[in-house]
Amino acid sequence: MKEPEKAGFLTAASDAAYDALWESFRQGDTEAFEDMFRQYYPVLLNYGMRITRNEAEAKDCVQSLFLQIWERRQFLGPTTSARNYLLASLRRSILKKIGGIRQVYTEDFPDFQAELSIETKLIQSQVEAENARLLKEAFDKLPARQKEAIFLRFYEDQDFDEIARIMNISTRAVYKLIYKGLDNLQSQLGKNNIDLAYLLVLLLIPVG
Amino acid sequence: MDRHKYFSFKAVDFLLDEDFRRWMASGDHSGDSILTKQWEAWLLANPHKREEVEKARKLFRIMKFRNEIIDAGTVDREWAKLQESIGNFGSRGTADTLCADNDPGTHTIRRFSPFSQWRAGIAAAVAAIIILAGSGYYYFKEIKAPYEAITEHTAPKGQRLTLQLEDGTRVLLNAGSTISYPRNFKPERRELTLHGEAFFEVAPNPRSPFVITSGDVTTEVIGTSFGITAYPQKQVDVAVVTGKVKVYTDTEGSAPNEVFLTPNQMATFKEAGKPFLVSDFDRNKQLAWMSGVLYFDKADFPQVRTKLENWYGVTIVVDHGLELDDNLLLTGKYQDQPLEYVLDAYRYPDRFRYQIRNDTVTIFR
Repeated sequence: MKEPEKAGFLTAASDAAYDALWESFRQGDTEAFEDMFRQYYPVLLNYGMRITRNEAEAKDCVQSLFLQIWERRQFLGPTTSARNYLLASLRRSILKKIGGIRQVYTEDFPDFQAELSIETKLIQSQVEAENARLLKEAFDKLPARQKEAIFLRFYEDQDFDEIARIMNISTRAVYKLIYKGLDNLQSQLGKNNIDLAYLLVLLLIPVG
Repeated sequence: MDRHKYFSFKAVDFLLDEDFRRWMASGDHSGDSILTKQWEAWLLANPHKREEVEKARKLFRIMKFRNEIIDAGTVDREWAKLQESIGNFGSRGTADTLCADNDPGTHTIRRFSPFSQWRAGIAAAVAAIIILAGSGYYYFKEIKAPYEAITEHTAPKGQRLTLQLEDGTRVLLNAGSTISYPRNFKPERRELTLHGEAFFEVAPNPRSPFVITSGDVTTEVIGTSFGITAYPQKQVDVAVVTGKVKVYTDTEGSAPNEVFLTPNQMATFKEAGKPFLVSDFDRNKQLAWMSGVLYFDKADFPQVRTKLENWYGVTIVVDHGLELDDNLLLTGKYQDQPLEYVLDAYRYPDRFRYQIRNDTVTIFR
């Protein structure tokens, strides 16, 4: 991963592509720091809790992250997105805390908590409720990193490059994870003789 | 949009496509929006793609994730905490003691197990509760502890909401209902307040009873599963599906009132000082709302009104000229019926007339 602080070019803060809030913060602007904290705290805690599920631990890690960037602000480089820089850093520090960085790519990778929430107003009958349940279950069963990539794409609406940076993998690998995840979903549902598309039609076409 | 790249696209490809997503995210799918015009024009020229695009639109709607709601109070508190830590910079190492990103040596113990294992553990013994609590002036009175952050979830009118609490308990909230609870449960007691109607699957924990307050009535999970129902005003019904629960009131000036319920039993609370009425209940009736059925059993006007307002997301206004008997009872089971259908059944043959305008229903002579 190309980390902003390692970029080694502490270039002009005025560059429009750089995150302005981050730039102000780097220059020691405490208000910018507070704005940044308040703006990204919910996103960060939400993401952190999907990796650890332990709320207190996720909170500690977000605290620690902000404390560290404040301490090290003079040494941090520019970034195009403070939000994504923070997400990536938080992910790294939680994984490290959980089991040491070496375990990140092994089967010990902790589950990723993302639960599909199917709009209940769309569910009109027992059969549909059952189908919705099957879809949720199928999603639950996906490997953690497929869930995480799909989550970042659909929930956080990140593009493939951004997901790659956050998850510290190549863009190609992100494509693979997401397509594999959706394929898996289809084949899980296939076991129950349900076509994903057919299921969605059942679920989503209003009755009457 | 780049019109040529889509020729080989399937639904999933559309779903992941930036232009497609921008179109979906724009929210305006009427013929007026430029994006919609572009897509419609493209679809007219490429009708064989319509099916895939339609699938993708449906997928887009369904790929939503349950959100952990982080309230402003939490952010305030965490900010205050951070400020304090920064103030303490003089005493070295504050950062290291929290989340030891730069000092893994001090934190080699894995403090928690993966969620998958944990959940398998509780799946064996799940408690289900259904609660319908009345509209209450009492709402929130129990949860005023000053620095205790309260999390609150409300299902929007016309929609139900599924939640999972930090202890693994799952809650299905009926339309318009609210639950609230401390951001972190106390270790010795999981306390929760309900306003409205809900179904609970309680994650058992013998060391920490699960306690639900709805108005004057408190329900405590003892065994595995049960249900509660409470109607508007002060009436509260508690209906046990499986397992065992304790239901009690503890209002000032009244004798303590307590019953234990076993499966298929229901306790009804009418007013303080009167004992609970224990009876059998019909599960199809108590749980009807969960499968999208609007069920009335000799419901009086205030009950019908509350249910219809929440179910259909409307406000019902009674015209001054109409003297409506509160005891005008409605019995019926409605699935996927428009509001007019239910109102027509209720007013039959000619008890009142009504007019629906936007979200307001006016009932008049």
